[in-house]
Amino acid sequence: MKFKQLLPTKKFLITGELAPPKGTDLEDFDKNVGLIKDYVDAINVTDNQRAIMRASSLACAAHLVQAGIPAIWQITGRDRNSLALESDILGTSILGIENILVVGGDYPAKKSKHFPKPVYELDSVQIIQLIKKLETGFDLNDQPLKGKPSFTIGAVANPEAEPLEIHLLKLWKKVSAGAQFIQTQPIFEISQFEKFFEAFLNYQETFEKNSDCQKPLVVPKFLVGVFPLTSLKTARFLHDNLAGVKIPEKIFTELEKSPDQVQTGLEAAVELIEKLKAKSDGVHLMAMGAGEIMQKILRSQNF
Amino acid sequence: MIFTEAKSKEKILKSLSAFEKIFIFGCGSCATKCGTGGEDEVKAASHWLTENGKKITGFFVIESPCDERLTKKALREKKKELGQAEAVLVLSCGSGVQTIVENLNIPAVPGLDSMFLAKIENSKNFQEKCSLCGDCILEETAGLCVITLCPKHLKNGPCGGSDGEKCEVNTESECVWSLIYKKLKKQNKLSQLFTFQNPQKFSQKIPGQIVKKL
Repeated sequence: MKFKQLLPTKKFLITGELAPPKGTDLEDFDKNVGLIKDYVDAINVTDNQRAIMRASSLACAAHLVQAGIPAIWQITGRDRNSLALESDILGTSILGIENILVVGGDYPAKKSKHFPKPVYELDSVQIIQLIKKLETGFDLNDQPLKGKPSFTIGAVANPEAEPLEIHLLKLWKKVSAGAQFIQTQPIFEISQFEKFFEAFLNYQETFEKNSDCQKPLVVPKFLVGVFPLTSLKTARFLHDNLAGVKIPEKIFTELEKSPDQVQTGLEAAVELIEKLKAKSDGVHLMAMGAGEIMQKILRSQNF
Repeated sequence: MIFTEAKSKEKILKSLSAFEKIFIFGCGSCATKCGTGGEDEVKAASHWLTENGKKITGFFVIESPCDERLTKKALREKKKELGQAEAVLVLSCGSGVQTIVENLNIPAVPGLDSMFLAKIENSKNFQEKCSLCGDCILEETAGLCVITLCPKHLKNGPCGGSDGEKCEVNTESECVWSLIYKKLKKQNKLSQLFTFQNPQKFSQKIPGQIVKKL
């Protein structure tokens, strides 16, 4: 079933995230796809994540779709101006990709040998608005399109962001603009999501009252990010390099004490997913390309 | 004011490698304020260039080299020394360098990199404040510029990359959206943030603009 058709159902959704290769060799990418495709409702393809060059996310998402696998194309505002965004969005539709996750985009690392010029002409709210405009059959210059696209649009949330209210405001802006599903940054304890989601729902009234939006707004589906921490090294890497990710101190302690860090990480991820079944609409599994780890977790579940 | 940084001596010497006789210009305005092109810096440049085998035919700090009227006057006054020079080293922003270039026949080498529009806190502290975006919305963001102080120039609210309230990119600074939020909350004006902001109008910012007012 298409991802779009699954969204309004009560099914606990599962998506997995993969990055394109750094090069033209698809062997590892295809291997990971093979490991997870039977257990997920769609696979996200990241877009130069952490502003580190990878092969085109559009090309790799199309590669999935050509193999009959539902793909979620991740697109950032960092690398494309509005013209390139319009053009690539139309191209995505031509290639049969049906789902887009709109991301603001990680900033390039200052220490890069080659520092790429960041664009950020449109932010994530404006990109969602752009997609919706193209779906009506018109471009940014109000020129009619010959053939219009149709997408299922997702946006990102960071449950640990502060100050909370301004982030809730922006998230509701994304929903109001047209986001139908949300994939969150990884959390490591259920409370990190619970309190965020409660605050999000409670803020709906305030947002509807103060903004010029179409009411009532539809609460999007939330797929909560889960990242299995199968080693201390992985945990430290995430903590130091992934923007907006907060790993509670006790996780580091547990990993340090553990005789089998892989097992500890797997168990923790599986346990978290179990708890999320009652609290969210789904899970978004990320593991920086560790396909076997992802498969172990996915297989352990009865989704 | 325009904040400039001095280019390295190695870079300047490389740029001047084809020339022996040099005249040095400084800037009495912005470059003086940030200590890169005032009297002291021009004299120091004269000194270390001489130590590196150059002959300095003269030096002069133009009050504002970007003001063509002042530059033309300076070029007239220093005509004799300039006549002996093979190239000029200019310690000012790019606007000053180009104003001199347009009025001189010998090559000009920039000695500074033009960095940003600054607020001067004191003689040692300069903070970037304005990006010259041509579409100012300061009254909608509590007087804090999101184009400048947010590296991603986000107009609809913060990104999810902040660490607590710290900016994802400038990790020692508080996220500008966090600052805007707190300020507007205090002023009871949070309603301003619910507006959907449009993208910046880049048509205002096509480079190379010439403005001739009557």
